[in-house]
Amino acid sequence: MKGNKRKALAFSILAGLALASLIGAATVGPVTIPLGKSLALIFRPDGSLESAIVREIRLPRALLGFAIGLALALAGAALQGLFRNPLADPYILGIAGGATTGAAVVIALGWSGPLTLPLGAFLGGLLAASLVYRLAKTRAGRTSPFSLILAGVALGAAFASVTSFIIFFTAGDRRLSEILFWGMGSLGRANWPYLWAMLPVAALGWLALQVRARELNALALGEEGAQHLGLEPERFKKALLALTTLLTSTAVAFAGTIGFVGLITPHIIRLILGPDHRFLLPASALAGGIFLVWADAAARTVLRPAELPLGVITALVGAPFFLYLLRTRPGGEMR
Amino acid sequence: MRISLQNLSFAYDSRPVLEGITLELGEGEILALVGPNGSGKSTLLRNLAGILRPTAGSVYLDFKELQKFTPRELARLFGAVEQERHVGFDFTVRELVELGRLPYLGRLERLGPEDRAAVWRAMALTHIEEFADRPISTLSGGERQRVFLAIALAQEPKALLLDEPTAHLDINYQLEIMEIIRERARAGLTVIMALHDLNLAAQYADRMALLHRGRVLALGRPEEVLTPERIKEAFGVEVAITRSYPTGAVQVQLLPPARAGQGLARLGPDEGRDEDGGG
Repeated sequence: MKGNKRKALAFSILAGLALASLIGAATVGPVTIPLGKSLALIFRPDGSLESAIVREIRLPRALLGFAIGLALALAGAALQGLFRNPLADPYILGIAGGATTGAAVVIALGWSGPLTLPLGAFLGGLLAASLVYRLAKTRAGRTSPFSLILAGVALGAAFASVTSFIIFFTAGDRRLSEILFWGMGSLGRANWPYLWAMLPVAALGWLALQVRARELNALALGEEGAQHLGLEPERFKKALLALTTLLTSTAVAFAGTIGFVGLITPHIIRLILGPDHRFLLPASALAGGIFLVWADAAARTVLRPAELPLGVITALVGAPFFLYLLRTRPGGEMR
Repeated sequence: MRISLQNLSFAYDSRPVLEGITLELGEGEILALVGPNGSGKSTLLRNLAGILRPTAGSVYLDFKELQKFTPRELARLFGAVEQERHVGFDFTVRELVELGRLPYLGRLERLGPEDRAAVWRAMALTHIEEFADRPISTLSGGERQRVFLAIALAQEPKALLLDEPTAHLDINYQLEIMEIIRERARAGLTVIMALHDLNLAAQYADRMALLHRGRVLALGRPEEVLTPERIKEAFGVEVAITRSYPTGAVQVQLLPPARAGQGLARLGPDEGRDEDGGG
């Protein structure tokens, strides 16, 4: 069938691009290392400075960037499906903001590490997710799209200011760079331990969402419609909120808040492949990873040797694109 | 499927919505729930579908209590379409109808030949095969409603629960939907539907239940239920009851307040029709 061919083609392209991006990103940076050489160094380190740059800095950074982009795009796709709202995303709903505050508390207490950071972020994210969910719920038990967004934006701003306060009183001389890191995101702290914590979360989170793809499709009929198909929406929503919060928080713990990946990526994929979550989830995951790897490459090179916050690049690309989508699809998915 | 409601009551918090509803339905029977807004029609349907839990009384499906079924099992017994359904994303018709197989599929299980057959059957019964690959946003209101009916039929249910299946539809689509429903009832499906159009209900229902303030005010064949007195009690308006000339169905004619005062409600069927034609 035509649709299946198209999907197979799209997935082949995405998989190829993902591999190329991971390798390509290892050649980009202040020190130019040709593609052939960096490829050789990935598999056969020779103890040189270039070898250390590729293996200890660029490779974990590219992989972490990919995993974080993947996690954020998945979280965005799942949240959009869950709330039947194409504007939903971990940042706009304030979940990332809560996660940032959680991570900042862990740091302020002097407990930071590759496992405690995501744990603290997860608790903060859960707090934000349950707050926004409760605030947006009407008395009849439905979540209205607009109150959801408004509650999310307000909570996100509140959490961001709490985070800034905590950092301001605890970070000493580094306070401004810390506030910038948590507020706008960066992969500058990438290392192998972070990666080993991020990869299983991204992989398991993906798997756990993927097995629920058809139920997410059913939720497009509304909660009552999904119930008529045997779903238990309350349980399902809680499970999905927890999963998306886990993905978001882990990403936030290692790279701060990076906006727009979770919002834009599923949107673009939906335009190309349609709304079926069985394909939307994996395609968004790959596309989110690719996007973030290249956004980071741009952040490192545009003003080199200075480095831009990653959120600057993603917003620069994401915001106009999102506005363009809104304007050119009148009525479309917006209701 | 035999559906039996015994003394069913339901309250939101402490506000009673349904009180002591007792009903019996046989296989292939069409029951229309009628009554003013807020009389409890939708709430009754939700109680039956297992979405709301009755606060008292019980429901039996073929002699087994409703509470003993899991949500998945209930989804195989009831095909239901709630009021004013909106689809969140632009799925194709086929993708939507395939959702009807959800109660039969494991999480990662693919649709098998039986599932595909059920999907095609449902689309054929609702005459939507030609739209199969079109996005839902390109369909008219009547076509969408047929898609929703097809989802319910793809569940291969034993009963249909429909909340205002013809609301906001042009009369040609109303007719189409009601004919599909009647055909399914003849094939053995038990149908319970809420309808606010009394005449449509009278034309298609075997029996009607007139709800008023959460109670069954009248239950029986349309001509037994639709009387000027009961309609006055439930809706607070004067009506004349006539017979439709070609179909023989009971028809409710609204009377303007001034004329009602002149006692037109007591006119016979023929005079009532003349009056209507002349006005």
